[in-house]
Amino acid sequence: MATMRKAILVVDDDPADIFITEKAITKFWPGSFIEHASDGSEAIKLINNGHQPELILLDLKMPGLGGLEVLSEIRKQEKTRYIPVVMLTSSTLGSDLRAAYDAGANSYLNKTLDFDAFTEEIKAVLHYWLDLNMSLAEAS
Amino acid sequence: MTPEGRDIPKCPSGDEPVPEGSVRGCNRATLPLRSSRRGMRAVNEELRAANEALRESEERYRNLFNTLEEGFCIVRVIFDSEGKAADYRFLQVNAAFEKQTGLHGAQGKLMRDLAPDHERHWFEMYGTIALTGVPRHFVNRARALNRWFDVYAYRVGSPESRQVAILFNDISGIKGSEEILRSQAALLNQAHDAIIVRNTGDRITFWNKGAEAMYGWSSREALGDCAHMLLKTRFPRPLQEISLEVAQQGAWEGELIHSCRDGREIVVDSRWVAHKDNEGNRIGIMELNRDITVRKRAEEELRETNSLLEARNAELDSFNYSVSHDLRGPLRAIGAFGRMLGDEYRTLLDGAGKVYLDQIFRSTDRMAQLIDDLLKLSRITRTEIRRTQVDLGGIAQSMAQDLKQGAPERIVEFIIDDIVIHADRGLMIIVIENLFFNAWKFTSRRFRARIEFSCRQEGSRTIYFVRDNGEGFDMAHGRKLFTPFQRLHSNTEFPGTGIGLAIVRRIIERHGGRVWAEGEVGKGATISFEIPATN
Repeated sequence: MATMRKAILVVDDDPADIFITEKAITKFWPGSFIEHASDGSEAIKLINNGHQPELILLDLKMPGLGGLEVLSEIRKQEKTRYIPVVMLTSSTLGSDLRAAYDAGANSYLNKTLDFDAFTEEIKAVLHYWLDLNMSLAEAS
Repeated sequence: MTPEGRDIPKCPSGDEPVPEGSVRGCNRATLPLRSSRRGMRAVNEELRAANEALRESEERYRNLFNTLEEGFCIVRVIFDSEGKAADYRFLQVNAAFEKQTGLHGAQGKLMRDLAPDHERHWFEMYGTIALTGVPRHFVNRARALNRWFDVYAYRVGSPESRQVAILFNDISGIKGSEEILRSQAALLNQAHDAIIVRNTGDRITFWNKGAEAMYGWSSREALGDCAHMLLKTRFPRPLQEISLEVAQQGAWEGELIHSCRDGREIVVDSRWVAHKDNEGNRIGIMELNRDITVRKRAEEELRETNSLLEARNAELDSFNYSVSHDLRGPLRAIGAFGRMLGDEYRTLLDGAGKVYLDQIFRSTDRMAQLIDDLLKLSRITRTEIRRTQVDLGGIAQSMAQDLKQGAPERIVEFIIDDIVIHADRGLMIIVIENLFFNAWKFTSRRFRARIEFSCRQEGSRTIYFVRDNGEGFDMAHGRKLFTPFQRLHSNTEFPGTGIGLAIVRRIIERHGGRVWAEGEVGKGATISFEIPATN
């Protein structure tokens, strides 16, 4: 089955975290098209300037325009309202997660310390939201 | 002659010789004889009239004598060879005499015969009156008769007759209570607490040494003052309410604020008791005060310190949390990039390189564990406690089952009692988890391990404990056990980060309780805890 080049947007203020997330994605899906933004305003600009991603991986805790605010922005606009957003968080506080869901997040992913475990979780996320039928073995 | 100037006719009777000039018996008068018949009749008339008058007067006397409520008697004082008054004989006693003295048939008898132990001062007193003729009024005790008397005594007749009339009243009732009061007062003065007795007008009638010391006013200064005004009393409830409670219940207890003479305000624990007389009528209030100012201040300080500690703890925990949280990021990066290095450049690495990489993984894994444990610990303090009845015994049983299923080759004997505790369920599960896991771990080298979960009563306190027969520990280092990461065994001997007991301690302390450990190297360990019940 032919795969469309689906764009994934990763928003995180920590460059190392962006690298790790992208690495986890490409480990599973080498042919993926990933864009990244280091802060909320950059993310919104990217979204509005045509490159509409199929999936957004959004860091919850960011300085300035935080994850929740970006999320609200995305949910406000008609054309971005239905893009699946998965929050990336190192917090396990129920209150944080509930706030994210209330703001419109579809799911969340824990920034686990174990890289292999994280990769597995990324795989599950992509599988679910992008309807991918791919495994690591298949190339794009 | 009585003190009031009344004439009391003398009616001598008894066995002593009748002095010259007097007539035995009083129903005959002495009159000159007249010779004529008409004279005889007239004389007889006169005699009869005189007898009548005498009889009437005697009757009046007798009436008075016997209707007197006071005791009245006439005695003759008897002196010994040295001229000292040694005894007296009752010549006459009135009807009330017996009631007032308790002596029957005293008339004609000697006092020493009736009451051999009668005090000498009585004889001395009457002897003096008989000799000097000076009447005396006094109050004194007759121990032999077990009474106190209020006495008015005076000489009657000629000085040689040595006769003394005694008008007296038994005042033992009043005197007795005075005595009791005096000895009670002496006792009350020994008390450290302030004891104040007030009459129904709230005026101070008794002020013990304790009150003098506590408030600064001497007894003399305080007596008569209105208690509440002197001490500027501040009541927790309106005085009327308190007085009503004393009237109805007989007592009241509460805290008052009093001002001392030097202006200091003190808090007293005050107990009021209704003060009644012998008939049960309320005549005032007895107040017992204990100065608790110091104690109250200490309690206040303790409260302040506690809330300060709690605030400090909360700060520390949020610090803990944010530190652990922030440490995760870089640690995650180290682990992730180490993995990437291993995955993508393994072929470029020689043996040493691979070993270095391995060490990086091991260290990051360990650090991750430590951070996670720290986060767990700080999370304990942030969650709110909700107390319910928790079937701790049941929880322990299922935990024991899980442990045994996880390592069926081990021989472990669990002894678990039916224990229910009023505490936060989630947190108590963590406590049992940690304690059991520790016990399980440290008995791993035993051929037959034994883990016990039970409780015992110490007075009103319930002490819960988990006891194992494992490795034990050196009690000299016992304190370290509950400190995060302070381990008493190496990681190779028994794996772990040493956070388990720190978590247990935090949970127990959040419940207001305390936890402690006892152990002996090679013999095993017992972790005990108690949780105070909340009202």
